[in-house]
Amino acid sequence: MTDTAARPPYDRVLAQVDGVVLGKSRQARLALTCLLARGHLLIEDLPGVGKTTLAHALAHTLGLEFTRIQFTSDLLPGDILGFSVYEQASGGFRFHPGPVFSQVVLADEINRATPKAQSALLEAMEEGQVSLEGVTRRLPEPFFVLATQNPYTQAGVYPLPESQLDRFLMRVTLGYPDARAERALLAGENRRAQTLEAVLSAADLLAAQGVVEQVALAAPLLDYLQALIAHTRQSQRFLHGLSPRAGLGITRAARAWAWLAGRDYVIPEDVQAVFQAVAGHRLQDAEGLIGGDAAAQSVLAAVAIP
Amino acid sequence: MAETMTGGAGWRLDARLFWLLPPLLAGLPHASHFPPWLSALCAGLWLWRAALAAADRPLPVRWLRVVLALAAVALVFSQFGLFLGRQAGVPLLVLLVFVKLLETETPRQKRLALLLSYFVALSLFLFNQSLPITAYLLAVAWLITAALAQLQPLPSPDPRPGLITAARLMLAGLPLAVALFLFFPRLDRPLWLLPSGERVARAGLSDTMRPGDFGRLILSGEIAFRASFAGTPPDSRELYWRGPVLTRFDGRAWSAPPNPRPMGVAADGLDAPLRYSLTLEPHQRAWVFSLGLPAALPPQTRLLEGLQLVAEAPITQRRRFELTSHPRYRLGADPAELAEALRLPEGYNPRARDLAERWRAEAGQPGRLAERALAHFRQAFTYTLAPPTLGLHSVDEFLFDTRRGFCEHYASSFVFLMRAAGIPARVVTGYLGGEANPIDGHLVVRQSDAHAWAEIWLAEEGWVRMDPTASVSPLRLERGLTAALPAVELPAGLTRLHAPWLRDLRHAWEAMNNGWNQWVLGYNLDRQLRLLARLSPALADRAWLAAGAALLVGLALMTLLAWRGLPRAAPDPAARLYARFLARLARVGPRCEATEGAADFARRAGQQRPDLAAEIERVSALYLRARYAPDPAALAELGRAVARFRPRRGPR
Repeated sequence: MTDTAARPPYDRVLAQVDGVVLGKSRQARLALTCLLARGHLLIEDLPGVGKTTLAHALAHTLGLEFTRIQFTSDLLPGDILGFSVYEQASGGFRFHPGPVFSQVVLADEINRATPKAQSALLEAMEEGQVSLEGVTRRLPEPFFVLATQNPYTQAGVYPLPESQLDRFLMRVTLGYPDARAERALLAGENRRAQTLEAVLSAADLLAAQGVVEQVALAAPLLDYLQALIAHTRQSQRFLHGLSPRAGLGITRAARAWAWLAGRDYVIPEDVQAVFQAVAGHRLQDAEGLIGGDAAAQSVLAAVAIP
Repeated sequence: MAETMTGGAGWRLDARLFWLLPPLLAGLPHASHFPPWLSALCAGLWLWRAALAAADRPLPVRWLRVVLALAAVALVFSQFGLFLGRQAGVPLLVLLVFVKLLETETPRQKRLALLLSYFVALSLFLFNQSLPITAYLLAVAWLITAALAQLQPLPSPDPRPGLITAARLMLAGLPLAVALFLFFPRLDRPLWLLPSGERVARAGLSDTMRPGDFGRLILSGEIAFRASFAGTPPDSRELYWRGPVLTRFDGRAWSAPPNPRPMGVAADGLDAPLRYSLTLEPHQRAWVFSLGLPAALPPQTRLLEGLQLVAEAPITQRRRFELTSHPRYRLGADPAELAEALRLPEGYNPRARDLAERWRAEAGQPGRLAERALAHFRQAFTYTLAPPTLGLHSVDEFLFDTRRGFCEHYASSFVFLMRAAGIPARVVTGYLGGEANPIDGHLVVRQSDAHAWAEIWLAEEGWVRMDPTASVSPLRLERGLTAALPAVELPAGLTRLHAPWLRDLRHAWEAMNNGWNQWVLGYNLDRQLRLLARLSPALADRAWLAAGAALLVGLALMTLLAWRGLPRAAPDPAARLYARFLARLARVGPRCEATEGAADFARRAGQQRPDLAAEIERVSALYLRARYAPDPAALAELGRAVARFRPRRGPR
């Protein structure tokens, strides 16, 4: 599952992001894959490991507009979606769009908000539109939500229920930087994400999203995918097997990964590369002994490639 | 993880220990014939390995394992001698398999250990082929197969799907097994000869009758043989199954002549012959216990003087005979035979001789004299299995003092009296009656049915059977031993049979065993030919042809089942070409894991063999295009590339 060179100009996108978020090229590539697959990304990790920086860097490099919502326990749905205000001058109501009306939305520390506020965002993510006061408003395209989440063990969090976790195509963790990256970081070689120049435009990205869906998925690969899914359902190790939606998510992500690698067909390695990110937050070990990511790895290690 | 039980999720077999279970279960029944030290040694080795597995500890160092293996060989050699035959060969096999466990760690080694377990299980058939053992070994084979399935293609943490796979495999193999069983050509002798020096002494008749012999025999509930009659079976009182005829008396013991002559006298059947079959349990002697006068001799048997039917070789395994006999017959005698039947040792039993002399003077005619003797026994004698011990003049003491005894006492004293009175007489031993099993209609004759009776020579009638025991205890003849004895004298094993449900259970069990013996173990060349003849007369003398046809049909059936049962279609051409490429590569080093994609493997293999890296890279890329793009041009190119790919063994 070693990463190969990316299709230009995405190799430059990744190189730029890599220059800002040091030593996290794999996560950056997964994030880009998620974006190309029209999915949303959940980054789960401790505060201060570079979640926000990654989101910033990605948005700036891709030339997308970017807003950030800091989730707190007193956040209201209106603070996310927007609200209407009576204007005396025009004698009517005027809608003030909330921060969600943006191409890249960074929902920071999403699990610190109440479920009510969480669900406002998650509904927008699912529908691609916001319905408020009887009026439906389309969200911009591309629309990419990048939510960060603190580990559950920290105080003051409302864990996302499984149904809402499912709205995210992928979940990745960043982890601490390795020694070399951390040294560079401490030495001050880090650059601010805001100073990055745009490599692409929104139109490029939308076009790419369309092409990704055309990537070929041959029958032997579907066999492999089905074997993986069947294993999660038959094995007694998991509380639930993967849902069809999860299976579709894997195909979307694998297509994007394959396309990013410069291929117009998916190979088993593409599935293996995205499997943990897509399936990890959807699998629960029946005995609670290992986390979802390790469980996903065990599935890969148990299913032979047909 | 728990070893066997966890709360909540229910029971769960530990995958780390599961593969250790089949070797243990396969070896377990061997404990019945192994010396205790050997069983303990095997158990110890197994426990050691299981403890290491459970604690995830490393295996013992290599030199220790080598020493253990050598010690095992030496130990078996010192205890059993040369490794010929099952007596030493099987202990060696089992012990080495258990030593092998201590160097078994990788899936490949586990597979080997499991395959060896099949042999351990199979070797048990050299000792025991009974129904329960067969059922047990089937279960063991199932477990071994399941453990093998659990290791395929990757060791799985959960052994249960393996159990299902194994059951399906065994079911799929069943038609072929049945076809092979029925049609594979049987040999009329075993394929290999087991060394036979170690015959187990079993309860059974012998060719001498010493005081107490029958008393011991009668206590045994072991089955001597089974019989089934073509028509309605005769009254059990008439079923005198003839065994050895004892003509010599040395004052204490009766014995058969050491080299009995073939029967050379005339014998005529007096009534319609009776057709029946005998299935003899192995008794290490040649006797075939027939009724009366055989009308025709079954193959490989002959008739000896005294109307004894014997097989050509001792019966060392269960054997079936088809017989026809005349229950009533007239049997002649030659002078030598008669002279022998009058001989008595001098100096023994003077009182009995006197009595016989007196009877001869009074009765005169031999028939009357015999009647007189039987009447004498009817007076004051008691049937008991616990007679007082007799001294030097055993017949005297029995007749005049103790007057308590069972068939051997009656038969021997009766014959003694007859000879003393000048009437040729002899002791015939064998079995009397038998118990009909209501379930399969077979007559079961046990060692407890062993019996001794007398025959006297009457000039006008030939040899006539006289059973003095019947005069003493008619019940012994009518309802068997248990009825004839007072309850206190019944051995514990026989008393319990009175409980009706237990009796039914035993009948059912014995009928099942008999079916197994008759139809499975007793399925020999003869029966096979008869089956073939019934299917098609043309096949009867072409067993090999039939076997070949059956084999083909069975294989075709299995292939069909396997094909239909496969979860996915046969691999496509690209996959086949790639598999060939992988096989060639594996011979020179890099080996592809089942879960490893082609691109990943190409990268890894390229690092391992930089000299081949470019070629591996090219073939893998073509394969990926051909299979997943899918690109027909790449497929053609892949075919050429794989055909050209002939890697050499690398420098390392």
